[in-house]
Amino acid sequence: MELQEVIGVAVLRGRVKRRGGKLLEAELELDSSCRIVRAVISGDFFAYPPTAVDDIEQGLRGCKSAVCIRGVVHEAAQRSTFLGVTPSDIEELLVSLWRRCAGSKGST
Amino acid sequence: MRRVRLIIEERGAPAYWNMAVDEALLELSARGRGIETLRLYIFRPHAVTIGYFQRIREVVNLEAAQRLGVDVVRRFTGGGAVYHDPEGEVTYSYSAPLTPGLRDVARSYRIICMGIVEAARLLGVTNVEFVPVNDVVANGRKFSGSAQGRRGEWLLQHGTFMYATDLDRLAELLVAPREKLASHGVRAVRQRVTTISEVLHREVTRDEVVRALVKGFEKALGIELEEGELTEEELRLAEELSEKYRSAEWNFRR
Repeated sequence: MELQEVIGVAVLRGRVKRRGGKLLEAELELDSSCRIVRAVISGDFFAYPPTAVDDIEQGLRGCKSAVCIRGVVHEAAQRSTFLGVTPSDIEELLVSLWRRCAGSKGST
Repeated sequence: MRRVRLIIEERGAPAYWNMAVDEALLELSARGRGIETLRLYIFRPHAVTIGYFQRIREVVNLEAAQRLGVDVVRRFTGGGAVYHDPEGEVTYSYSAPLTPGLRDVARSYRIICMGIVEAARLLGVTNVEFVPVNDVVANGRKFSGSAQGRRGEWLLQHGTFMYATDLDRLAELLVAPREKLASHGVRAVRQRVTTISEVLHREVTRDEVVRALVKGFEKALGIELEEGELTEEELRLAEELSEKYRSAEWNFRR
């Protein structure tokens, strides 16, 4: 998994592309306590139903731990099918991004 | 042999209308009024469609699109950005009930994309294959990509068939991240794509392509296509849905 990051004031972006898979990108906007204010998941993958991704984005709002992030993705994944990326890919990308914030503030 | 409606729209229509018709076909199917259909159509004026999950500014050169008069519309299906050249590309959509064979998502892509493979073979392409997740390649280069939507117990899969697309224009309009290109072992979009005319070293016409697609899908899906038209109900719903595809709210939602 390759991870690219651009760290702004409180915006973290990451991107992964597995061989044979699809591009997955995520952007997290976090407040000063690393609480997720806004999440955008994008890419050229497929999700059935597509609203599963919207649900993840909405569910992530207010999350301030890896456990919370994993829980939101896991819940959406249980009632959806992904093609080109896996729920684990999404989970790992989001948690990696969040940890950049948490790590920089000395708490994980 | 199962009879399936065939709709051929060779005159071409704007992207917002084409996407609205495809969504109307799927939506009415989900409401229990579906008709198994293969639709072959053209985008006029030329257009870029982007996947449901894509960020428009990251995958389309919007300045070039505006300068060249290219419509940009978000699809209701996932997948990547596609350039639709009215003089070099035919788009297909196939809507069908979720039979046991089509229920598995990955498998259904392969089954339906075999229509594209068979069409290319009928045109004389020998080295052609389906490459998961959703591509069909000739001599290792992509000339067709597909995307599928599902609602209720139906699916609709649409995709491209590039027979003479202006690939330089395609490369100007579409922006691909370097990770994506690298995963395909190329540095530029142009190196990854081809057209059937390029593969066969001759000018392939749209008429030939339409005929090949009809026969290709008949063979791949074991169906008999019968020409028909969109129903009043389908047209009415497409008219309603076309408002969404014309709106900045939808097209710029990501």
